Amino acid sequence: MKINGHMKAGIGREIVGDFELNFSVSKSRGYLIEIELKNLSDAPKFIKEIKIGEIDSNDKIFMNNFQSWGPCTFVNPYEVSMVLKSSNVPLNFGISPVLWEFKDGIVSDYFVATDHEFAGFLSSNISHPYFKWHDGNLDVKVYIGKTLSSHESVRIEKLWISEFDTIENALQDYALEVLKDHETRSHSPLFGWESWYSYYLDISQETFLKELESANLKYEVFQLDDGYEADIGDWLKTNSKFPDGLEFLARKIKEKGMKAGIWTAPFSVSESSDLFKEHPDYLVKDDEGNPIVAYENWRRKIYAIDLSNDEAIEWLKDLFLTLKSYGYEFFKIDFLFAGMVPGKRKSNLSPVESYTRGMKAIAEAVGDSHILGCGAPLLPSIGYVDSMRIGSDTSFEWNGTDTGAPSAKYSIRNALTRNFMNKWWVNDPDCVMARSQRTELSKNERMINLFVPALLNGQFIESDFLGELTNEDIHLLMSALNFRNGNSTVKFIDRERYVITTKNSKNGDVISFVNLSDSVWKADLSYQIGKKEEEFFISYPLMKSVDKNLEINPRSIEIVLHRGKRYLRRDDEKEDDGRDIHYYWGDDYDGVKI
Amino acid sequence: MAETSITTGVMTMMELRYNPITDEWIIISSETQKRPVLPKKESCPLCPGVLEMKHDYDLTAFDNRYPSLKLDPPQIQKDDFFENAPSYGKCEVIMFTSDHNSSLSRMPFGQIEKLIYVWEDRTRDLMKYEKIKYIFPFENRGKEVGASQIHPHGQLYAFPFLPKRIQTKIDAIAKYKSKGECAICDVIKHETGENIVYDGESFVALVPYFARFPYEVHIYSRRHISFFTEMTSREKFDLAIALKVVTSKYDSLFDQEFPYMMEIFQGPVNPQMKDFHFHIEFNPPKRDKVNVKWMASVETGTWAFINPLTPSEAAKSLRNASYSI
Ligand SMILES: [Zn+2]
Ligand SMILES: [Zn+2]
Repeated sequence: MKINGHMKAGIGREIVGDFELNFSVSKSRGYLIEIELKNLSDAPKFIKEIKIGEIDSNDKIFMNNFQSWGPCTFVNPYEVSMVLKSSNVPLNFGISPVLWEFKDGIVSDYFVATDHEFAGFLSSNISHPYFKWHDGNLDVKVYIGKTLSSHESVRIEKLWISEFDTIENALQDYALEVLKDHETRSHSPLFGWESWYSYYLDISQETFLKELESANLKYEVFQLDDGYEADIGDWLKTNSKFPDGLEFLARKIKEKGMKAGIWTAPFSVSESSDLFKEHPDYLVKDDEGNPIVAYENWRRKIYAIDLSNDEAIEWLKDLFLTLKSYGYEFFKIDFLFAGMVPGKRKSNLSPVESYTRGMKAIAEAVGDSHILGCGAPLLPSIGYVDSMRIGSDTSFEWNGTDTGAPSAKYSIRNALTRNFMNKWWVNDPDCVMARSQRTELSKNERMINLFVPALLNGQFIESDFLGELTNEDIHLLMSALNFRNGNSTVKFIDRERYVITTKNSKNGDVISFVNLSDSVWKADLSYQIGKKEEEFFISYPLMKSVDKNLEINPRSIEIVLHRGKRYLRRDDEKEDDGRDIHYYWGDDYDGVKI
Repeated sequence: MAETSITTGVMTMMELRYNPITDEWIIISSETQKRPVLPKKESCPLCPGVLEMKHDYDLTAFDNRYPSLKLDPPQIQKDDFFENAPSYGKCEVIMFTSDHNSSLSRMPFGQIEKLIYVWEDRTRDLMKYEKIKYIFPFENRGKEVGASQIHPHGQLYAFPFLPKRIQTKIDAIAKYKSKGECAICDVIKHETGENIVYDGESFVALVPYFARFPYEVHIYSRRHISFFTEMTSREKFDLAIALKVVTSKYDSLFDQEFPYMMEIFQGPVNPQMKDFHFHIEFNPPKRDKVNVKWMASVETGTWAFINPLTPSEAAKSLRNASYSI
């Protein structure tokens, strides 16, 4: 079926092998396509992936990877497929659950946009929906990975397609369409500290407590990252660097008035773990019955938990109930993609159905505690996480490859392109690092790493050596914190240049120009705003008035502050003894017109 | 004695008394009242919902529970020899934010900008009382200058007379007329940069050539204006930045919560005196990280100050100190 932004409402039918596809197309801002899939045969049939239709492609498409770390950006698909062919990017299930598709093409998961059309699936409850580009064509596909009994039919994910004026508007509309079919689980964004980007695996109880001692800012959460566990899978048993165990640490954190946070990779099992030895039955298998390697990390093979297995689910619940009983209230759960690797499972659930079953078990176990998803398939996680990592790991180095590998640059790029997802959860752009020591980042690069997360007002988790911060580092961090609490929209100038318009940050309305490129960006301020430019002012650290022609240095951010009139509301009241008291409320700015 | 009362066995009284030896007015305010009972001993009376503010707030201004001056002062008894007057006026507390652990140095400058609008509104309100002659907002920060509550707040006194140092400033304006139009305008013009702490577009912060305190900083408006009510929105914004930069630099100077007295000088009102150039003085008592420079005999007795630190050196340290916005 040809799918595009000016199709006719109505119904359609197609036969693909043993299966029948029934479409119903209706108008909904763009078009909404509901799809039913039926096994026509008299025998149960395993269904892998199925092509639903095609959309017209062009040379510049906006693509998205399925999980937290993967890129979301404009690409030339010919170039990307050439790069993939010629490079040795290791293909594992962290890159895609449909790895076989990369033999002759590249994949955009969940949604895709050409120069004028946007197509996106509104959920991933049963199948993994994606768009496969090959030889200039864009196929619309879903991967299901389960058996349909004879004449069984399933409703699969709805597809929404629309012609757009700007890609940014299309993404906003898409986010709202997705929201119609989901309940969200959303806490407010948190300010916290975690151990990963200072200590990595070298964290010990001693260093963690030292950092806790130095925590003087008003962190809401203090989180222990990877490095404490005996092995991947053996979460409740600490290694020799943590002699007093996890309950002790949670108590120490709570004594300082913060929420205790802990990292786990709950769907991952290392080949060397006790869990692997004791419960091979918990793992996803291949056709020969051998456990499938989901990915390799920690110099070990990592297998995937079969979340269709009731006993594995009980084990999972028990794990999180125990951590919660220790006093943990913030759970960073990582490498979640392992939960939906294709393979043989105990029950006839698709990989996506198994994944959401695991997520649901964790969400129920931790109750109203905060869940931060990471390395997670995005769409199926809506409703199960409070916050979600939306980019690669950041780094103390600027560059890196745009493949989901650690990079300060691409981590922030995703925070900008995926900002529209903040309707589904609190976006986590990954950690900020204020430090000027033990980093390769320049001051301008550090400012991007600090100010973009603040302006986008998602999670704001610092990962520094707290005792080593200079006075200037701390002031940089405190300035960034004062730009939180606003509402921001992001405009894409091109792949490396973005404009963030923020209303009502703690420091008022601001327009920020983010230049991730290696060349000077000559931007026209008056084009970005409908206001008199003399009302604007350039900020920290320059503190100089701006000309309407801005020059933004390579790899830097310019924050332009609005200095228009502010309106305070005043309510007059009386104290009990008759004294006058005037309340002033200053939350309404005469702000930037967004 | 009029309206003395015996509440706790101590005589209380409120009146203004004139000192003919120095030609200045003194405020007698011995009104002792029972302190209100706080829900918990350690709770902060300035936090939302505790004592003064019944509910949440952003910023507030309210009459001081123990005012030295009030709009309905007690009657006084005239003396045959001494001159006295009723304690007419207003003493207000101004809450900068509901955030207990904040400070001018730490709060978003956007919050300071709101505070400036509050100061403007208080000025506009209080100058309507014809007997008010001078409106003086200030902040005492730190126990070194007698602040008892850490919750960020300032105060405001609306005087029925021109206090002595204000009169001195006014006399100096008249005297300066033989040299030029306005001393502050000329100081800004002749500043070479070595005393500058922060060089803003509408306001300049500097350690004055003639600083009395080691880390004294003055903030001058570049435009000759006398009142908050004359500031454009752009000037109010720029003043917020200047206040934020100066106070956060103070905190990073010795890496401690830097105590200061912040005094805001507008022109006299009723009638408005436009010759007066708006300025803010920070008078910090610290001479270095540990030591305090006290107002001792020479300073208190003669008003002659001995400054142990060259102003340009102090300016250099403050210029180099980091700040946040
Ligand atoms: Zn308080
Ligand atoms: Zn002047």
